[in-house]
Amino acid sequence: MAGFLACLFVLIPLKSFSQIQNNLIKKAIDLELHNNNIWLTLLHYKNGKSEIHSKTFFLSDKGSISSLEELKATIISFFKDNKTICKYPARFYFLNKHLNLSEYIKTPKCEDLNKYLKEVNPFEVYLIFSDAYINSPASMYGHTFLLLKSKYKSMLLGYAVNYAAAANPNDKLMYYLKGIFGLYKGHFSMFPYYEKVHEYANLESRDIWEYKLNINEENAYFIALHYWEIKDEFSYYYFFDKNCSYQILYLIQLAFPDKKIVDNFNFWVIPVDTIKYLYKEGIILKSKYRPSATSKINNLINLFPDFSEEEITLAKKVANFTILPDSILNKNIKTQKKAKILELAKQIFMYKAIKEKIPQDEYRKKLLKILKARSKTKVILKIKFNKPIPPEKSHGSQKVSIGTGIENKDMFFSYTYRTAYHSIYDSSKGLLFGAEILFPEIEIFTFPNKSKMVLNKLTLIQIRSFSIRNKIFKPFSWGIISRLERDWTDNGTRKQFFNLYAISGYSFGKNKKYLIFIGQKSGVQIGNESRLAVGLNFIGIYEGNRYKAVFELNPFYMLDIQKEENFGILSKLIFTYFINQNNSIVFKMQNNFYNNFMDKNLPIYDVKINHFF
Amino acid sequence: MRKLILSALGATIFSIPALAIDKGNVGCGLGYVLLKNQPNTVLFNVLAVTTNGTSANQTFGITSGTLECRPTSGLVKNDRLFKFVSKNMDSLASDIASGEGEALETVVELMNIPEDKKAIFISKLQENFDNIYSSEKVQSSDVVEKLAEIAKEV
Repeated sequence: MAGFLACLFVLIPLKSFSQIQNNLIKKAIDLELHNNNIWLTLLHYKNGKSEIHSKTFFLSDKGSISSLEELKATIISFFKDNKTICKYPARFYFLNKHLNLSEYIKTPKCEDLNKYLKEVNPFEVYLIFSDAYINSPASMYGHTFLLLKSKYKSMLLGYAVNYAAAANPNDKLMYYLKGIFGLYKGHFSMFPYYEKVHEYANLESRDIWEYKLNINEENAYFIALHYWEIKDEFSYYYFFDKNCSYQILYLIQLAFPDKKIVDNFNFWVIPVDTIKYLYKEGIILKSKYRPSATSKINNLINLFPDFSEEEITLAKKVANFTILPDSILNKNIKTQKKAKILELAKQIFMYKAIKEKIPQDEYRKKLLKILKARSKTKVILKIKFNKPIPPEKSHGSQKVSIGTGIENKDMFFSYTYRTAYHSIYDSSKGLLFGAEILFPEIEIFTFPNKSKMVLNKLTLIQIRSFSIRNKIFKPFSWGIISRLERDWTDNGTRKQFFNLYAISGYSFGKNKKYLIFIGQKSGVQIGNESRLAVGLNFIGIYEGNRYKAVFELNPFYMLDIQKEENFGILSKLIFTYFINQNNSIVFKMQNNFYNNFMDKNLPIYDVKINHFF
Repeated sequence: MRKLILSALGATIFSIPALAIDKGNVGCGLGYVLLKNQPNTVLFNVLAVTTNGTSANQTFGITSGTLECRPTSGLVKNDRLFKFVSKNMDSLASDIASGEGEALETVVELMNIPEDKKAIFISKLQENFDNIYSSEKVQSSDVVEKLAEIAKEV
């Protein structure tokens, strides 16, 4: 009897428990929570299904295709075992707001979660953009991640939330293919921000931009809770559309129930485009610039206008330890000047230590020598680095153009479309000067008099990196070109060739102003009459505020498959006038001189209107 | 056989503390973080695989603590400060020498130096650079203790 009573007492609350549960599910459905933008975002839903691919993320078997089933399963799981809340704190937070779950379910302690929240202490949210890294095509568009900033003033104490593919670097070429076709799993991960700063600004020398988002403390906390839910899950990584910049948008979306941020990005997600979009939507409040190791050094030289060439050389010598840091202190110059020389020497040394992989023992000894000398000047320089034009002021990453011109006496119209990203003829505002990535670009010509339409050019990929050498940095300039293009043949007509070229050499000049490239260009043309070409390559670029002029000269020696030799000179003059950020007009004169061809001089003149978007 | 097992066990036991000591000497000195994970700087680095959304090697970056560092003496109890200094040894040394910089600002904040004492504290640090970084073997715990000492004086 006693046993029966005990049972009864236990059963009664249980019954009402499941009744409450069912009532709450009914209420949730009445409120249409399963179609609520925030609920769908918590499940990473797009077009009716989830973009998270690990099964462990879902509480219902149908969770990845039915937001309703997942909603029901979540409520049931919370009732069944309140520890589930520790795994899905953001779902609980959201449902609790609408259904007052905490009236019926005792919230558990969640030790790990609380430890994490205490450590991260989310207060503000930033979107971080690290600039293009042209030496790695996987990073050529830059990278974005989120920063959860704590109440501390220092940004460095924040935590970076990053989405990345778990790639195997040994995959080499397969790495790109796998990245493009979604064969890597992508994960969210979290790092102390100072680690990311070190990685991007110091190790890879990429400038960093920090965009403060219009997200309040409550939503910053909510985003931190959601990170906890997805930290062990994965979704397949696609380099072009489901990449880092795209997945991060889900987290931002959580703070904006009325916006559909993720839905705006479908085929081609370029980091800068997400920044431009967030600006347009009023989500970005302000930006801050963090110079890379290289930018710091270049900036220092500009910040000290009283610096002579000799003093720069002196700083370089100290950094190389051809003279000892202490010797600067004994020089008969102003203390302020000593401090500046040693400051520059310090920056150069730290940069070189990384580049040249100095052994740790040697590094420590030398570092302390420079730093000791620097400290002995007792001067605080109060350095404020100049902020360059930010990336969001750059032209759009896609381009369409229409134009008209004359090709060896025939009139034509041209139509061009480029998916991404920037050519040396475009305005370099907000972008790397002297860097070029075309990936891909298609150009079609029509000849109305001949009623003919041809594929003039299909650039599969073209990367050219003209990095300026100066007193301190001695980078190498290089390029690869792979495209289908019409080129002149024996009888003065143009035929289709597949071109593969490599460029290498040195560039000199002044950043954002002008550069001169001197080098070689060689490669193959594969077509009806395949040929081999080696040549010299000279390029001059001058950029003003509203215009840019580029001159190119390419004398070459050519050998075709019948072992017929040919000499030629290709010359180009391209003048671009920038109407505004996203529109420009281009005038181009090109002449191909061939020693052996019927027509020796084969010119093309054309004018084009570009629109970027 | 028994002897063999015992000696194998013994070897394992003895090797544990040896390993631990080793680690203590490697981590948390100058250059440890700065020179770690350097990128490949070979020319024509076109196929080089660097970060940028394509490597997630440390999913649990948040839990990576300061286990490898020699702890501070009982006097200084500020985990966040200790961790920050340990992981930012190079930039902090560089900032102290120059009397400015973000790593230094962060340390000042974590040490709760009052606003009106900040400037004097920073110039004291710069003056005492030799003393804080007395040898190239200096460890993060030494630095934190010296910082605390100097903070008391201002």
